[in-house]
Amino acid sequence: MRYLLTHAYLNYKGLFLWLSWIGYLSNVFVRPVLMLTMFALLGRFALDPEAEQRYVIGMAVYSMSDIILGGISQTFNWDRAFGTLSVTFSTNASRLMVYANRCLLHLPNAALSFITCILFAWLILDLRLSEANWGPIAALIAAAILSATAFVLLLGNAVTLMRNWLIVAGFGNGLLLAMTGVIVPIESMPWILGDIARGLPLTNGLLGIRDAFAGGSLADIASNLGLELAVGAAYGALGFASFLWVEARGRRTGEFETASV
Amino acid sequence: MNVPWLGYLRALRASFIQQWRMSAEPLDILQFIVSTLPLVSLFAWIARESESELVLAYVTLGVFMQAIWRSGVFRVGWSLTGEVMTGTFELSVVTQTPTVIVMFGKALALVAGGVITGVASFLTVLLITWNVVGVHSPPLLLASILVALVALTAGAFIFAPFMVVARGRGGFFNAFIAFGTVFSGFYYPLSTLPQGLEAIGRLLPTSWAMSAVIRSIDGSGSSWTIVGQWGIALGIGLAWLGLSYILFEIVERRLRVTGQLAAG
Repeated sequence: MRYLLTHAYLNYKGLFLWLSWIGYLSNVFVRPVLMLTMFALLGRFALDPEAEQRYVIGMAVYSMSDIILGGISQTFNWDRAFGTLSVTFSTNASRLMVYANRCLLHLPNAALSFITCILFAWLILDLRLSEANWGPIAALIAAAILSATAFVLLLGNAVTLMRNWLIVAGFGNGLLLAMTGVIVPIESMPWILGDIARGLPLTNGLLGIRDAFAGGSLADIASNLGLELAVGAAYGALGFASFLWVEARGRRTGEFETASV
Repeated sequence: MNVPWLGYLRALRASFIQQWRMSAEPLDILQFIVSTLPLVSLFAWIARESESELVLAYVTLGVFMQAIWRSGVFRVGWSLTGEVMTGTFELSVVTQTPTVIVMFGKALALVAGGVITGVASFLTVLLITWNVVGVHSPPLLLASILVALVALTAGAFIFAPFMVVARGRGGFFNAFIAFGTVFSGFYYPLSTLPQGLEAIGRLLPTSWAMSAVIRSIDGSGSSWTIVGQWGIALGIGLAWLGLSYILFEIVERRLRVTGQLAAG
């Protein structure tokens, strides 16, 4: 546990370059609120108040994956770029702990982004909260954060391989924004895209969160909660297996030691 | 005879070419496509759902404008990060050429690159909506777009001094991108903003330029109204460029005299 916390802190402090006060405020609080406002106002102008409400909740949930993706993917990138990846690979600590400690301190940022978005929307954009059932919402938010984190850790291995976190982060952000029901309902997606969407993080959780904001109980959202956790577990397993493969490759070939930015 | 402005023009041209070549890397282009097209697709979907010509006009031109804005703000910030990492940033500062000239050349190159992404975004919207918005006055639209390009350059450039001070680090320019999009009215009329926030939008040259663009398309307001909005957009844009110059003077004095940057 001490190793986990120490290395989680070191990873966060050394490899999360948004940790300055202005970077942190901009990315955890200001940008999510502005992105939410943009879609809310477009929904209000282009469609109707119901669309606006849908987009507000969707963007608040999306903001969690956005900050997790930005934080963790750059951690993988700078670990290689700053030359500390070899230390990560050479430690004899539990591989699962080595893999998982990168994400730990980014989890509260996701919760902060969501809370800020909801508060802002309630105060400024007239988000209706009178029917919200906060217990199920909290459970679903926790599940969504965990599944999004597992997905991002998987993408982190791609960052190490590709030596470029912006492309991977851009791909991940685009996928989660467009394909998880944040804006476009998954029932409206053409062809098999709706089925693919169900296998992504946030999708099932978001369906449950919208129900919970409309007064749904824990029993009503239980299947969504279960699916979200199952999706997260699957990405967790796949991500860890990928990490072991990348690590073995790095140890065998030394290919991640090149000093590129 | 020593004519410093000729040297400044050469420096401007050189920094434009340097930044243009850096931004034309295939990975750079791929990164922008990957991060931009999903967002553009969502806007196009919303426009299609609305079945409104006005919404379609806003979205079609809005994605074009936002791509340029994003390129101008994000890439200035990111290019600075790259220069700091590779150790060439200090060389830009110690040269006799004012930093503002070097940065303006970079900003122009990035805005020009943004036009390409903007056109790709525009075509994506057309492909998804399968609908071409009718234009009331093509000549006024063309002129409005040119004014918008100036406004976008001025609007994006005002953030450059802050990014220099922070050496492009921290990713805080991400908030500037979203700020400009929300308050410029790229996707909706400024009157849609909550009460009190519309005034913030009126301080941006891009909001007046976008309004002129929309009026050129839907024919609301007279030609003189549109010309008036050009004047306001250009006036505010020039004021912002002047403010950028002053800020760069302050930043450069600080860099050259103290040898320190705010961000450690």
